[in-house]
Amino acid sequence: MIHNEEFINEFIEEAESHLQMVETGLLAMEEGKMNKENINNIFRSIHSIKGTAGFFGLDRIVELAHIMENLLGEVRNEKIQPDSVMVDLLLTGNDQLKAMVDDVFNSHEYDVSKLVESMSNLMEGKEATSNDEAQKKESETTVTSTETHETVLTINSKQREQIEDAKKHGHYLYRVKIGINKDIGAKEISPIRFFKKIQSVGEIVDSYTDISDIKSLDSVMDADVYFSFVFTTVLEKKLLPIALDIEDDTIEELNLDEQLSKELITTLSEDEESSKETEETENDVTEEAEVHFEEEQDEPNQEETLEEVTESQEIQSSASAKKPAAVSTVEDSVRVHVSLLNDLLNLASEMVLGRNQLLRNIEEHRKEISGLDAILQNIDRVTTELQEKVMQTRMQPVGNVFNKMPRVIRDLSKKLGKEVELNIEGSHVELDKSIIESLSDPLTHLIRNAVDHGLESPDKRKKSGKTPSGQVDLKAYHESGYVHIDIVDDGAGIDAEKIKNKALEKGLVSESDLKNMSDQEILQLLMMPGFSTAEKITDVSGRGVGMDVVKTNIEKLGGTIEITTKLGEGTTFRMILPLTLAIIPSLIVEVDEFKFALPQVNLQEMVRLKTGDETKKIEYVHNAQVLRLRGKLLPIVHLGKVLGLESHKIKEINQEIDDITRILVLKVGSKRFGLVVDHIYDEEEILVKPLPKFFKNCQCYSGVTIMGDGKTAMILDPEGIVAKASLRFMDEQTKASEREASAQLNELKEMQNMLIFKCSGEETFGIDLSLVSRVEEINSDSIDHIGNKEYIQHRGEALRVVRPESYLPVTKKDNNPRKLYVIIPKLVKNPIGIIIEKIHDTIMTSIKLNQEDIKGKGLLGSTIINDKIVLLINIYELFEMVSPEEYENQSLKISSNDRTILLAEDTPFFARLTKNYLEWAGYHVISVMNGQEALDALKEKPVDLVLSDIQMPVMDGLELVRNIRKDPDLAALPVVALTSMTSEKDREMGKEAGFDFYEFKLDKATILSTLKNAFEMRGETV
Amino acid sequence: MKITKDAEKLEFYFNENITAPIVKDLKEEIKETLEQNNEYNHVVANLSEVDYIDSTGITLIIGIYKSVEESGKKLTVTGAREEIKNLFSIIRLDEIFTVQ
Amino acid sequence: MTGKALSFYLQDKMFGLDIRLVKEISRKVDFSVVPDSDPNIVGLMNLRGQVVTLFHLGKILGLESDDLEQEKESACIILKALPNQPHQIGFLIDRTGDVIDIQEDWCEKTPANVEEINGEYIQEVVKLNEELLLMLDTEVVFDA
Repeated sequence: MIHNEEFINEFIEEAESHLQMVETGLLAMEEGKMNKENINNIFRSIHSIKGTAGFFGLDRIVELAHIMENLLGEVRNEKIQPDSVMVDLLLTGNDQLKAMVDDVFNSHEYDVSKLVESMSNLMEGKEATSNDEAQKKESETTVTSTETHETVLTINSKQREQIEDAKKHGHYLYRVKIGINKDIGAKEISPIRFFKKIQSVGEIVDSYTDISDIKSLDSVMDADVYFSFVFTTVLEKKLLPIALDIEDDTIEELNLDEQLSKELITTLSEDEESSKETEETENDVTEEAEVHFEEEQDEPNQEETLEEVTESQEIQSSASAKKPAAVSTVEDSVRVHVSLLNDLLNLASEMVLGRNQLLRNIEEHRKEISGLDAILQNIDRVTTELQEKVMQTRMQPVGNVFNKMPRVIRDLSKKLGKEVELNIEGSHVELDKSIIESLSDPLTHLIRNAVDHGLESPDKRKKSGKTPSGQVDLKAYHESGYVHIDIVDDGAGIDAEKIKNKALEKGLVSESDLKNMSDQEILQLLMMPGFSTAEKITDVSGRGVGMDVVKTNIEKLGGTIEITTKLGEGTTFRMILPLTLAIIPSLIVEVDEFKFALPQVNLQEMVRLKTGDETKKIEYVHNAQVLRLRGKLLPIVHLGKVLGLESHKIKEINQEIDDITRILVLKVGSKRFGLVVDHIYDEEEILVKPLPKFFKNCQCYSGVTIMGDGKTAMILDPEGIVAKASLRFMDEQTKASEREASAQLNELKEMQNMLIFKCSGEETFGIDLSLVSRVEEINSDSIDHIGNKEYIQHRGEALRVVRPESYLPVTKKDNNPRKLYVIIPKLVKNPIGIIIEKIHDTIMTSIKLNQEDIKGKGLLGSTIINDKIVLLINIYELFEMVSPEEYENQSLKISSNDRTILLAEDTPFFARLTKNYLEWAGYHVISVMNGQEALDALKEKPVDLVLSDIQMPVMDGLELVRNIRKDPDLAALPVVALTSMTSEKDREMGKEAGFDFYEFKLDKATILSTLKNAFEMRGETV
Repeated sequence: MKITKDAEKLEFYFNENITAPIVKDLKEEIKETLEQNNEYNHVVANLSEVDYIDSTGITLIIGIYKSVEESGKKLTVTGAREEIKNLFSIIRLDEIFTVQ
Repeated sequence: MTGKALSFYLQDKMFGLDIRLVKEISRKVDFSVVPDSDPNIVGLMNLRGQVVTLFHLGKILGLESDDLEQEKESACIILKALPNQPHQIGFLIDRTGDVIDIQEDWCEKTPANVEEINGEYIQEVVKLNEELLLMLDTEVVFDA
């Protein structure tokens, strides 16, 4: 049962902080840094946790903390020497405490008995102590020092009330120790005045006077009366010495600890003895001379202080007089709930925007109204400062997240048997709280990587002349407005070749892509989704975090990751993060009268195209629009189209508004593309408001903002736009001159994407990728045999599969590999899977078909790729051979000849393929590359039917058919569309434009029958 | 300072402020008086005319107490002004010896 | 339920809502349409610096809708933000009705389909003098 639940969050925060310190301390202890300070810190932290846990009634936590405290107490008293086993045990205990604190409401269900037992055994095995006695007295309310966390005194319930009341009013609790002569008399202050002052600034809770120094009248002139008191006051620690006119070091700030819900003990008589153990001998002071009511349940140290004071005049040497150690101290700080800070930040940001608006609107009148200028300047300045300061409240040192790493390294290095030295720099560098929080996982992952994959084993290192212990540096520093976090290892480095190969293997990239990648881009492949297989999910990192998730997380924060490496020497992962979040500069753009905000961070440049300007033009490559910009080619996306805005569905070619096309060049990661919009407005600083969850399926938006006119506007997410538009990024090649670029463009037009593969024999085959729906890996066992036919289960249905070498005039071998691949074709009515043994490559290359040399049914021809002969498969013929019943249909052939078909198709492969079966069916075929050429051809020679692709450069199919219909000579011509765009809308558009029929590109049988229909329709008999 | 004795008590009557220089002067006298008058069980420090006492003065009073107490006698402080009573109360001297 | 309900009209049907769920009623609804969003969402509204997502209640309930133009002039009800739903939501209505004090015995369980609306969306049905008040179950309706 938990008491005082409303304060539980504070407990958790504090406890977590303590537990972190304990971990750091334990690790240091293991490394031999066994100094007293360290141990004391650890002890105090555990003690504090125990105390506050008791306040809440968290029994299990108290139980475990208690035993740990005992153990640590023994270490502190040097009764036990800590060894690796003990440290491990303590670390485990600490972890368990962490777990319980995280799950505080269920903490009572955790079983800590085993740990407790282990620790008890450990202690017993070393030495039994009587510390237990002292510990069990800790059931009263105690007051402890915030600096030393030691118990100062025990108070009764009345006093507790007093303190609590004071605390409620925001008062502080202090202990002041003075020698009346030394501190008051020496300054010639009247003691009456002094004590009056104390009473006026606060309330004394308890006090203790030590007159033991005065032995007799003789010593009156030299002796001193020592007075220590605990009191509450509203004064801050800094002000107190000034107010009372005493030295800082006489004052100590205190905390109120309460343990368990037991009633408080008020009586004196108990157990002074237990705490006075070793001090007995020094304790000359007779009990009577000491004036004190309450028991001092002090640690020996505490007791020491007062005793020492009487013995010798040295006051400074003991624990409580020590200056606060490395442990974080409570110095003039205030606890504020994070939500309050967030609200403040929002308000400050709105203030900034309001100020911007105000300044903008009132700009003209600035001079008119007297005094206005100065006022505006003031508001301007104050607002800026306000925002900056509020931002600062959310800044936290990156060390908060860094200090988790030593543990990660320790555990990992033990697990892997590698020695690792961790060097941390720049812990003080500050970042916004939310960034810090999001860094934990990625950082852990990168560190793990460095140790796991980066560093070599000690043996290997020795062999290469390196120190057996590997070095990992974790650095944070500022640079040009960003914070850099470097994770550097001096390990084996990353082999770019291996990355290339793996990426190819996984089909993430093609050979030609690779050729044009910079070193950085190749390394970035590491972080592509799907790159690494099964990331090991260890306890240390907790969740399975792949490198791609790391990258995404960093990018979500507005940052980037860079990788540099040197084989044999090491690798550096660099995270570059922005300092702040909420307000970002952006550009307001408009499409179809909808306004959007585009974050500036992605914007590279703005391009305005005027029709007729040859230097900047939109071209077509492979059915996609590209912008040629200074020799480079950028894929183009129409924002309206991506957002599904009505008027944009029809547009395909340059649609101009006032003859100008406005394109924004955006950069996402290492990819660039152009975004076409209708209007571009001003730059504005906008406040990013989170995207309501109802829009989570809209990839294109990353947030909402409220513009100056009070209307909401969506914030565009370039990455989402890219994903939605499914851009295939093409290689941008840097060319010196326009001509070269132009030539290159032409080359690109003829290039096709080919899948190169091998069957069981020697020959290499190729097939156009657009014919391929997917390639699947299968086990040869999973092929079912029915009769002499082979099938596999594909998507819940049986798919017929064939081996090309069984039908084609090529070699066949019985290799019987276990692993096979199946090419599932696209755009075919009754698909048959093609079994192949090895995938070579996917390349983009221009095809020069040699149809004469190698011929055979099922083969379209051959071509040379990379000095190899590649046989191009004619999928139709192959299928016909396999299932003649389905595919061959003589009725599709036409009886009479002399029907000429004009085929407009820009892809050579398809052109060839289609021409092939058209000719097989008995037609004459004239083949052209685009709509314009088609029109030209029509002028020269009459044809009987036009078969056209839709997506073509220069003039597309839609426009072609419109032109045909416009021309009285041609209007009656049957025109059939042959395309891969087959949605209802496309069909409608096609019909509207004037096509008689609209057909699927590769459905040979249907096409041929449609052609027949088309002829009939136009009133001719076939 | 006046020293008076009667049947029950030995009284030190302070007729000036008890500050460091005074203490220096008086302490010997007090010490001797106490030593010579060992038969008295009750010692009184009369502060009726004391307006101000400084830290050394406090020390003196305590010193007297210590001496007195050593020989099992009792010390009472009388005539103390409010302020001084208050002072003694804060530093809890009134718990060791009687303050009136 | 017992207590006060805010009634409103949407396409001549009277609906009700526990008044404790209502943050405010806005008469002039100035919202921005969001392209490419869920069809049940009308758009976003700026409510004194807060972004409110406006829903098309009629669509959600499956009512035949009139032209969109008319709705631009009408009113909307904005719901209080729930602790587990930090994003504010609201929906368009034709006009508001009275605040009605509901008595326990006026309430009846919802039939499977009441007035062409899927009964799931209606928490209960209240018989008033002449009309039927359909009490909306906001959790079900806006579980978008």
